[in-house]
Amino acid sequence: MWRDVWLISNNGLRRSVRDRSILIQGLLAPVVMALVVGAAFGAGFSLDVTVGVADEDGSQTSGQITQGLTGSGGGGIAFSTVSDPQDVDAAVDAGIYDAVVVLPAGLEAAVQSGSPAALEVVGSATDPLATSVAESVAAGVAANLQTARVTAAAGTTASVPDVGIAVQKALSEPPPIAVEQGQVEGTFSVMAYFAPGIAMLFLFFIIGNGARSIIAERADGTLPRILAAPVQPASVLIGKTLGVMIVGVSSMTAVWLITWLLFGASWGDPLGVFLVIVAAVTAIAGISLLITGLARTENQADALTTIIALLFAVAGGTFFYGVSGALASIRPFTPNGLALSAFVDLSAAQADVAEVLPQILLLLGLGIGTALIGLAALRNKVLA
Amino acid sequence: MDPSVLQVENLVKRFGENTAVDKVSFSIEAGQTYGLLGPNGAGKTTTISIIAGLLSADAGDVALLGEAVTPARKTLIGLVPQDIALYPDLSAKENLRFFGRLQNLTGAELRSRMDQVLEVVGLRDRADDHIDTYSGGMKRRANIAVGLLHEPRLLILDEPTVGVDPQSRNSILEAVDALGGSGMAVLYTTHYMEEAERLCDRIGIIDQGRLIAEGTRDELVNRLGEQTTVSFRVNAGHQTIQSWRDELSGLSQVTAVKDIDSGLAVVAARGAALIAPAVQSAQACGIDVVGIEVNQPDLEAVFLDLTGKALRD
Repeated sequence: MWRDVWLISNNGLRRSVRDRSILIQGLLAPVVMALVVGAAFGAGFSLDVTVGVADEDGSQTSGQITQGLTGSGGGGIAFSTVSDPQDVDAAVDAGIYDAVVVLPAGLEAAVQSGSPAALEVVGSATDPLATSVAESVAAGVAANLQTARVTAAAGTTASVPDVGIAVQKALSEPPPIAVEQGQVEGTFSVMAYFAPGIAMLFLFFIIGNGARSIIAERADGTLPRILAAPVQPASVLIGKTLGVMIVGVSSMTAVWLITWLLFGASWGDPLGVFLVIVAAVTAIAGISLLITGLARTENQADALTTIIALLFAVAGGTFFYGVSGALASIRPFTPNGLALSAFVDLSAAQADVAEVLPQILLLLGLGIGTALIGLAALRNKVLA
Repeated sequence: MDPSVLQVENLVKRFGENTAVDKVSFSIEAGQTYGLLGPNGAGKTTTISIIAGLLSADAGDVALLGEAVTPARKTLIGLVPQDIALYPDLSAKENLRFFGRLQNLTGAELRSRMDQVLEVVGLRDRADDHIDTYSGGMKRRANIAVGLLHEPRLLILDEPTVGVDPQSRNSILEAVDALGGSGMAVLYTTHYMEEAERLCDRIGIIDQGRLIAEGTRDELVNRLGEQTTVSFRVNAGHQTIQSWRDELSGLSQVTAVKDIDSGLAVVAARGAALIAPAVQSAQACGIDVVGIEVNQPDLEAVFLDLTGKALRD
């Protein structure tokens, strides 16, 4: 079976490579459009994010953290103490802060008792980048608090008489801000944002074409000829799906490498980027198979793909970085929005794989779920 | 005794209310070419789709060398669909390589078979060219080459000469004619009577899903006995000809009347004796008869006799 799957996917790949429209849609267009958009914004704009620090604890520990953060900044990130920690949401809504890190009441006690220190981040759905920066700050603070606890534990093991002293000692070390500087440094690259966004838009067309080729091959007679050979119908569907997946991943990976190597747009952790690409292509392939499976004709599938691709692109933030209102609420439910939030986390917030795992899993789940329904429909429609 | 290469028994296929194949039975022996002759929509393609395993039958059996057609046994069948079932953006060699591998051919055996079938269909010189650069006839021949590639025991050709020029058609017919000598069983569907007469050892006449007659060409034609077809070319309008048609249908010994270009064809016992009363009838209708042709019985006449309509209707 797997030999047939490979033969069928390889045949699809061979034909795709010869199809120049795929080179245009999958490579040239995303790079050129990202370059054009990049030129419109400038080669790459620096971050301009104001992160508030709300000290609800009022303890020595929280005070040190606040002091450390507000005394730092740079690279387009500024920290500022929130004057009224009880009204953080209003301050974010009013645009005084792009996002706020809340140091909750009981923070110091939690640290000293060894309980988890829960830091809250308040952000706006319209500005996921600022929220990502604030989340990175919070993560860094939490990591340093954990270091303090480990130090305390180590002190206990080494017969240090007073754990509290060890904690105090750890907390009196240079504040965690030094770590944060490293994590939130860097600029938001316009190309690293728009290139994957536009590439995903075109992927809908490329992968949609591939999915619809099952219907086209049936009409052309090549599919019946394949099925007249000792080949299982499932091998045909899996082979076709694998073929379009490889084309999609190759296309987007090529866009990534070109924008990175030729134009210096860093998309972030390579492993994370690759996994997000695979997950995004899976989601788009699944949706395309679903559309193809449910549409009555190839033309109907084509039209539906175009409409849905544009809808997802607009709602997902492909054309506009900041979205608001209804679009902002839809965004997390679109494959484009999920993937772009992961790409932003990876590039601007320099997140690692673990931090974008939720988006990766959601995209994979979306892709596999829609693909299963689509393939079942296609099996009944085309292979019956 | 060896089993037939193909044994079809009481095959039935329905699409909703329409019965596309209605209790069709026939068999093909090794080295035999069997023609399934019938007009478009008669059920030929549905029948071969069931035999090739592309459609499931509602009733009846298909046996290949005495056993049911399982997916693994599909390699015993070579299918040449009516459509040009090739990838136009690949060369003939690339198409052959892909479909050959699906038939479990590999390596030197695959290369050798590719060379052989390209030779058989006369495309060796153009083997590396993309299919979309081929003429219609060359595409048809490449289509046949893929069906022959894995040396099937049964080759199914579904209207392989549709839409090709006379020269290519002749080339295809010569290639198919040579296959019988190789011991391969051939199932050939067509609505061209001349092809069935030229190529087929046995012929099944199919209409509206039913196999209405079967036998050798001579056996089928002998069913008509002394009947001949007389074609009358006339100078008259359509309405007048239709009036005359009614007159002719009423003559004794006439079994069928059909429209032809500029006139009517009449199938009748002792057709020559029909000429005088037919001409008188024409004159009575105010029609000038400008030409008369008497044809010996053929498959066209058999079909006309059996169904009351022409093969191309």
